[in-house]
Amino acid sequence: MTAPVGALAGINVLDISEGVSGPYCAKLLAGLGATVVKVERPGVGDASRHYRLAADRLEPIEAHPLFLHLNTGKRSVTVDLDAEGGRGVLHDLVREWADVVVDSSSLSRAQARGTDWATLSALKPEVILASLSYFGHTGPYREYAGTELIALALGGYLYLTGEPAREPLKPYGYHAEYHAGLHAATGVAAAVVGRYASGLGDHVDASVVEAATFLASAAPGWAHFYGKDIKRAGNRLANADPGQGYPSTIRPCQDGWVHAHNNFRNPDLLAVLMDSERLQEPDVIAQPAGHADEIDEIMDRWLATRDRKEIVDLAQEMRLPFTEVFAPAEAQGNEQLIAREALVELDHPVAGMLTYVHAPLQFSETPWVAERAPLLGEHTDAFLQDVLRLEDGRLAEWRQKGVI
Amino acid sequence: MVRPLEGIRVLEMTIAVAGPVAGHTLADLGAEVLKIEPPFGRSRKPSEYLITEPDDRPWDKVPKFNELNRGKKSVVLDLSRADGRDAFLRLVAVSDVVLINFSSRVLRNLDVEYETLRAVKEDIILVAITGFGTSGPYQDRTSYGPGIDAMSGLAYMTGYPDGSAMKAGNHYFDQHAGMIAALGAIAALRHRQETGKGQHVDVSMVQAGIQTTGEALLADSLGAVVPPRQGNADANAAPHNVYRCQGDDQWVAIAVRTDEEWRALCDSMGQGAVASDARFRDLAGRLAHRDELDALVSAWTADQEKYAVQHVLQAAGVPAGAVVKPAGMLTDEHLVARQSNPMVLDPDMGPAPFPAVAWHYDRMTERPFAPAPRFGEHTEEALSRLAGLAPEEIEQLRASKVTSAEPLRGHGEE
Repeated sequence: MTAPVGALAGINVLDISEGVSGPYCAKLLAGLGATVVKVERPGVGDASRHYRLAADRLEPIEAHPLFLHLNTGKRSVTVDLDAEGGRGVLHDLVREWADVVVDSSSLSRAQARGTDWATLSALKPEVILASLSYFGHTGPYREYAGTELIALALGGYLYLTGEPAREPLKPYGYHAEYHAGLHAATGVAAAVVGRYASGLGDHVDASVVEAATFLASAAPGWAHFYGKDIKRAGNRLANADPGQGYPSTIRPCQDGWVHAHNNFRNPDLLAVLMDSERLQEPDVIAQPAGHADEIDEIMDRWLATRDRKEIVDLAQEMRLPFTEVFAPAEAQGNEQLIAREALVELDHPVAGMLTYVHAPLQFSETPWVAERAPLLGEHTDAFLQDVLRLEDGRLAEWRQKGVI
Repeated sequence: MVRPLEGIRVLEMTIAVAGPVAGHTLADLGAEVLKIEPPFGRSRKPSEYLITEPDDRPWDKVPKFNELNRGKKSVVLDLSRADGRDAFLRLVAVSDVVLINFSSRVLRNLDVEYETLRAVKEDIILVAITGFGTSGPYQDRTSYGPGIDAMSGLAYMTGYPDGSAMKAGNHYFDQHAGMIAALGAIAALRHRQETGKGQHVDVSMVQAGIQTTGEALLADSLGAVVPPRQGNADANAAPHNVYRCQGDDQWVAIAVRTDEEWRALCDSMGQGAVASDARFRDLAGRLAHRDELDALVSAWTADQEKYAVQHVLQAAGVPAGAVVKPAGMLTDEHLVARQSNPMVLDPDMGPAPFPAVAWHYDRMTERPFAPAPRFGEHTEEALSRLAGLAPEEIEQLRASKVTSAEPLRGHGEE
């Protein structure tokens, strides 16, 4: 009896990407059991080791929360892909070892580094290349400079977030980037399955801007069929006509906020929960969204004297889909997340023992794999020696030339 | 054109958004996806019908339903009835994946749990999407996408500096959890290819959600707390905001990360002198004087067209992008070229835009997308060809209202 292995066990992934979208793609593949080796710039490492989380400080590169989170389950080797000789090392690794390459370069940068699809598919027809760029490798904006904010704007999602009378609001963090990474991982996994029949790899040309359009989902369809742009609506549902169900919103309570949601098929439930006659009157029941301000006032009075746990416990008991608004760190104390494989303790030589976000889903047969993120270049010598079967002195030579 | 999941059959029993997203993704990739719809038509909400004339099959003209169910087949069956359940299990016996997004309580009540399905098909893959997972103290709780935004930490972190926690648009974690479920299904197919074994894939929307705030959890533990609700400010760039442009509610987003981008912005604004202002010379200075910079840039963008600003700044190497409105998503030259919302010809509604997955293959394909099925369009085909029922047995199911050619009245109201 051998120990269970992940669903993508045996798949070798070379992660040459930086930032968020590419590393998240490769992290998901690692979680699924693929062997992931991250290629980082010598001495510098992934750009995400240097991002500021707050304006007034820099995090240590070996204990940067964003890097630690996005690079679980990977090994790190340093190769300078911009140095003479670096491209050759990379191509040898692709030829000898990789099933999948994850890159985050625009087309021109990928061409300059020899990591574009034309080059890699000629080198190894069965390789799968995931290119995660802001705009993709085709289309008129393909060489535009991108960031999370720019991709959200052009992708149509930024317009939908925030208060209607104020400026569009960027969602916290890297949400379009995370979503692009997830799409690319799905594209890679499907290409792995497709390769059984074809024997050939494929290019997964993914873009952050299209991840944003995917998140905007029904908005363009609404514009097309109803001739009207959905507009951001704060915490309420966008484009609600007066007859639509309400609440679906965030309101303050004694110790923070809750997400309040009525059972739209049985709207009396909210009135019962909050013991309000007004909420049961026919005009409110007939047009909940049309009475949103009044409903907020009634709810706020009831919520103000209760804490999140009490509110959500009472509501869920009645099958009202209320939830707590949690700060990210509160995940640590949540009984549901603790009861499942949602969190994991990992020890790291610099960051120490920490609780990490773990599996996004549970498989009954194949484990979700997580090991701590690697130190910069931690596996350079052993991995290169092992895969490339180098002559004595070659590593020293490369190191001296700045290739590794 | 070969697709990676050709030959894979999926039975999908889903409502709302996350489950349909997982199903259409598998269909986009070439799987045959049979959507099992209840005879009462609850999955097609009357409040979303495009037309109301009952003679004109309005349930086949529901933009949001059709968008989320493109490329699938529709099979109408009442699983709460013994005959319906029997027909369903016959379909399970010839399928590869069963995809469900009912609550754990409904899964138990319908008895479509993994062990039951496995008894019918040894290597079946069951993908169940729930708010919180099918185990643990919250297993019977329910939530929609925006409630998951709240629990994941996203809503707490998003917001204006002077405002409350705010959800990030609509349905965010429906999309994310749906795609996680598609990824889980595909990974399970790969495992089955290697080992011959199926499995239960238990997708929790909140676990999918916290993937995207995991850095903030670690930061807190390391004493490097990420400040919540920073509006459009970013610790790595300034200016970094949206700026009002000519027209109603028109904006352009600009993100200046480096000194080089800063100088290029100043040159583009015709304000070369500002570039050398000591207050703004490096990122630390620009972060400290964010408000002055925002005022400066706003004054420049205010009477310009948003795309004009985008093109001028991008030509100078400065990250900039129009804040595209929904209708604009169908006309932006890049989004059109990338086919991010391709038009699919729907036989009942005409050309209809569909949000495409965010990647393109070169050798294989995930396009062109097919339209959504009419209500019950494939019931007969599935019951006879796949479930092996005789014509009189199918007629019996119709007579007893276990299946129906149109939604049965009186139960469809959401």
